[in-house]
Amino acid sequence: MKRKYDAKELACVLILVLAILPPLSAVIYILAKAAAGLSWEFVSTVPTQRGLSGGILSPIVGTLWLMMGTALVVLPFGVGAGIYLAEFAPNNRLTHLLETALVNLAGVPSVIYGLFGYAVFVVMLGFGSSLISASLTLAALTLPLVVAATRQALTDVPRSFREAALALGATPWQGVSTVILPSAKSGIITGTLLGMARAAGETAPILITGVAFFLPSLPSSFTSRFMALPYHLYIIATQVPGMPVERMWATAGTLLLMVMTMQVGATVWREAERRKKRW
Amino acid sequence: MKKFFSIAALALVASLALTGCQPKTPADNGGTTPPPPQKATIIVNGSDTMVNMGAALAEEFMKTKENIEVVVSGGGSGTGIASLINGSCDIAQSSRAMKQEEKDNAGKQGTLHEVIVAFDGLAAVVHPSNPVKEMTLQDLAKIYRGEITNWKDVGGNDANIVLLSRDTTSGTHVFFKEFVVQEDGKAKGAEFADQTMMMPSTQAIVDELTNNVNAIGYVGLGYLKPSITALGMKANADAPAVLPSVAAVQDNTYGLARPLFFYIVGNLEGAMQTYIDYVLSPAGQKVVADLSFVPISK
Repeated sequence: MKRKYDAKELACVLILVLAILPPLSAVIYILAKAAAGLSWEFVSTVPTQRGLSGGILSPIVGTLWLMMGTALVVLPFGVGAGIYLAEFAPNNRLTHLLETALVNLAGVPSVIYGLFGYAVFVVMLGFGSSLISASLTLAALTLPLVVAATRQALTDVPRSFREAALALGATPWQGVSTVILPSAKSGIITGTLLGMARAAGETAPILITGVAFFLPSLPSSFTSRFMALPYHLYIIATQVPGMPVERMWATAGTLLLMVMTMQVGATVWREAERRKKRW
Repeated sequence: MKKFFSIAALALVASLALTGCQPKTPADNGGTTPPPPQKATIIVNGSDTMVNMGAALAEEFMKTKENIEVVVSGGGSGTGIASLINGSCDIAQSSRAMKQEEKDNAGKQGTLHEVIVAFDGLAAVVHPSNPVKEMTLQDLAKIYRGEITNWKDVGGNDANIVLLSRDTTSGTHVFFKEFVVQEDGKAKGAEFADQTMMMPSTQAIVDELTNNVNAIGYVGLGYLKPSITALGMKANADAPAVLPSVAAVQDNTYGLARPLFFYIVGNLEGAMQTYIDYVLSPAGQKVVADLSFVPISK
């Protein structure tokens, strides 16, 4: 039997297509442009002559370090806060205040995080311009995302799970750690990965907390300064006269591929996990 | 519940340990093992105009000096100067001179050194078909303040002047505003005319100029090309016009040029001295010239 769509449904489908078209064509356009300049050599050699020759290994490695550092910091804080808000927070004004603050934090422009990171991590705590400072800054930026994802994942676990755990004599924490958290694992990890992807694409927060345009060596520890793809792209596109456009496209394409791989990977994995669930 | 908090506390301590207890320098390791031979690191921060030049100088320098690392980043002259004052960089690259207040603050950390490493020359540019080929700095200022709005007032066609400028994020914008619009302090507080079009890049100014016969803009000397015409600059109505050129910037006869600075706090010695010597050497100045900046005269 053929299903009939009415006018309102068709309108919704049309709007959906119109909404998806611009970002999708932008992605395809960038990747198509990038294909010409992308090669194994380009992603596996360090830049020389300010990016006019060589590749983009140093910015790639820097961005990977940055994502790792951000994850290491944001996971304990973000997941901890998410668990507290979803499972233990009393329903009072302080909790509401915390929730409002978190929602607002998510809307703060990223350059403000950059200034915050510079004032607190670089200067006040004396970490200097380094991977630590930049990772902590990006962790602050992605914290609301991870908290919200954790909270949502925990809230999605049916109430009956908690009741069953309590009925079997488990303490609330035992219930959370052995039943609820494992059930919510995929949602939490997906949220964190999306946070990492966001962090990888940011320029403003790292600009004054540790990124460098030119570094003679790859970062060796979290105290090192680092190069990063978004900043590298910004400088080669605006400040290096005579930069071939293929190199800019290829750099943009690499950044896009890295971020998209994480996002698509996170989504596919979450769907796979979700299908295993029987609720 | 108790366990939850102890785990949360553990996570807190762990992340603090991860981030807070990194040794700052290899020498911090308590002296149990002798530190490896130290590589000197020079951190350069500041002007976006100079980041490309700074990186080129650093790269060429390190080809010969393997035990010195030079790290370069941008962010703007103000960022570089602030970093220098609170000690998070060693050299501040700046496309403007430090203000007295900044100099006082930097002076508290040690002796402040100001080194001119190159010049940036700006050219006032028009469409090649524009009959106006020269003007005084004062007329240029009046045009950009909106006091002269028609080309016929400066010897051109009867047509409105279209003003092009870099946007406020550019060091070029700041230099042009302070140096031309405000006549280097003589017209304090003056602003660009409201109708000025703020362009996101020098390339955008060049593109607009090649298509608009009544436009005027300003670009760095490195951006001059046949599709646009540079105006000769006159010190006053009777003085001869000087076309922008490297030689004219160096011998100070061309009016619309600015020095580019390295600022350093502390004693010039060791790796820092070696690097500054290189930047000012013929080899270093060749790098400067290759990037379309104007080298310092010797």
